[in-house]
Amino acid sequence: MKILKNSILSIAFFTLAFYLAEVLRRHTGDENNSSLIFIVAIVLIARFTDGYWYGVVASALSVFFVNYSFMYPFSQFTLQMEGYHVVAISFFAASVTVSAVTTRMRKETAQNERLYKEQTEIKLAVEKGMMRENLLRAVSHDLRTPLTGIIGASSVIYENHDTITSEETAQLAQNIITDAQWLINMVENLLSVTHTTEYGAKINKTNEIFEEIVALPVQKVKTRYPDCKISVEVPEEILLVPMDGLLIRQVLLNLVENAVKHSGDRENIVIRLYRQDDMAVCEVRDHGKGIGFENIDKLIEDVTMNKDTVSDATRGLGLGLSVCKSIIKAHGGFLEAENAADGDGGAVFRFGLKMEEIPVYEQH
Amino acid sequence: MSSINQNKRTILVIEDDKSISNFICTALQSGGYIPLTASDGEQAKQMLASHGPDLILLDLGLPDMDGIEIIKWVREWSSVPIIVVSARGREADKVDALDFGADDYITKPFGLSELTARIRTALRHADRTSGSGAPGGETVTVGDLSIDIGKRRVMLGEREIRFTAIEYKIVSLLAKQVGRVLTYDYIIKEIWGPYASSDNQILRVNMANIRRKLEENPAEPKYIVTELGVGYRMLEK
Repeated sequence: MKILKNSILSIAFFTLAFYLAEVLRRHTGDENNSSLIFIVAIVLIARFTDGYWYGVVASALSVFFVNYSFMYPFSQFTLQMEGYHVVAISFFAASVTVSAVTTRMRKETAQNERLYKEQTEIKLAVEKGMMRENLLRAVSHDLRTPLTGIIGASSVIYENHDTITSEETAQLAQNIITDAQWLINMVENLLSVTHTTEYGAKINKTNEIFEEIVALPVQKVKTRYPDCKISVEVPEEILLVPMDGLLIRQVLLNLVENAVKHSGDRENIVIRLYRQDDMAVCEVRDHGKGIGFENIDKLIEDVTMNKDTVSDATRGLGLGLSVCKSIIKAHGGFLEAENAADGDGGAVFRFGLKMEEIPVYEQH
Repeated sequence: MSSINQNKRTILVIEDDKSISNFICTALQSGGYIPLTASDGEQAKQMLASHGPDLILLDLGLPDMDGIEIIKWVREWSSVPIIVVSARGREADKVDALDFGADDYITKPFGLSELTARIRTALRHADRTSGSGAPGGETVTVGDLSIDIGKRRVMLGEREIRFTAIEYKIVSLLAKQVGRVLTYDYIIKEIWGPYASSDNQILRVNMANIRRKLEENPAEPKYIVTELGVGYRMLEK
């Protein structure tokens, strides 16, 4: 198959050269530079075929045909011309050399490409591995506490149901609900991650109206923390964004919940949607204590690595942010965190996704 | 049946997990309903045939058959309200269930208040459609919003909202079935006809425009909420 392809390519280039040389000869007569045309054909053959021999054979044929068809006397192979031996040998040597150099160049390029590809793959694999390791660390830390709470509270109710008051039972049941909500959020996060890392290419993007993903996370957080104040700002323009809506909603839920729980601010959390060039951006801004890290990667690293110093107060933070990062990455968007620049204090977490232009629909 | 149970409604809970089925039944009982249980499809069919419940609560993941099969089977002979119980991330299942005739769905895990609200809505709808005729020239009122279907007029408080023809059709369609989730496909077929493309983008854009006229903040809708991946629902309140 390969030999066939290489042969066809070689014959095609050679025939083309022959044809061009013939055209040239008709215009200029005896004194033509047809050998240069053949050199070009040889370079092309060496470049686009596999191996060295197609070029060499083409070189030999070129010497013959230049002599036979394009040198006086035409249609005749002759060694009569004075000094022609030297010209023929030089031509042949030059052709072979050019062919050899081209072949080697092509091989080196291919090798470099492969090397680069391998390096990228290794880098990706390492990144993936680290992400998974971070996640596991965060999860094992985060799972135990709420489970302990649930088992404790429910066994107290079960074993002492005839001695504790109904108020106490209610309080314990309330704790169970809270802890279970924690767990379910964690499970949703883990599910999101398996979607993004295991089947990276398979995230299911559909065009969503950006503002439609906001309602549920905000409502959920408001139900869980009735005392907190969250406001949402939406642009007049409708932003249409290809995304996996459920996953992006999870990102927003994590960011809003983090703001409520970890910033120290429950009074003034602002979610803002806006357009920045061809990106739809969502910003979660609190007015709390801010973050002590220059970027989001350092922050994630810190909350997941230092598991010994992390108190239960930051439970869920590491997992939540890692999940956000992998979801946004799988979408080809950006996620960043910084302290607010306007001097009012607090942190800004921001993600952006590539948006789609809305076609103009006919209105009736 | 004894006379005590005269006004109580029966609800068949089709669910194979014992502890979920337990907590639902306890809750239904204390909410004034009579719960019946079935733990697989075959048992469910028997119970349905022998008891004729007022409402079905159906978990789609049954051990012996696909929950959708039950919906199809019931719909051949009954319009009893069916509420489907399904997990997050299985949006396609929910859409299928609704398209095959389920009335509503609830996502696991759910709280008690959410469940009883869905049950009340479904029972009320069943009463309305079987009872005093179809909602013809009525006015639907939700909070400050009132939609006069006969006069084709939408008022928000004292102010009249001007919709385009398509926007009004969408709003009134949702209003006629207030409380129920309508799938994208269903809405598209109702508004643009049976041969419309199933691409729901045009519907989504129209909805975004509707919200800009209707809602104080389109990102926190009070009247029409998005059931992501499924459809839209006008809230009942």
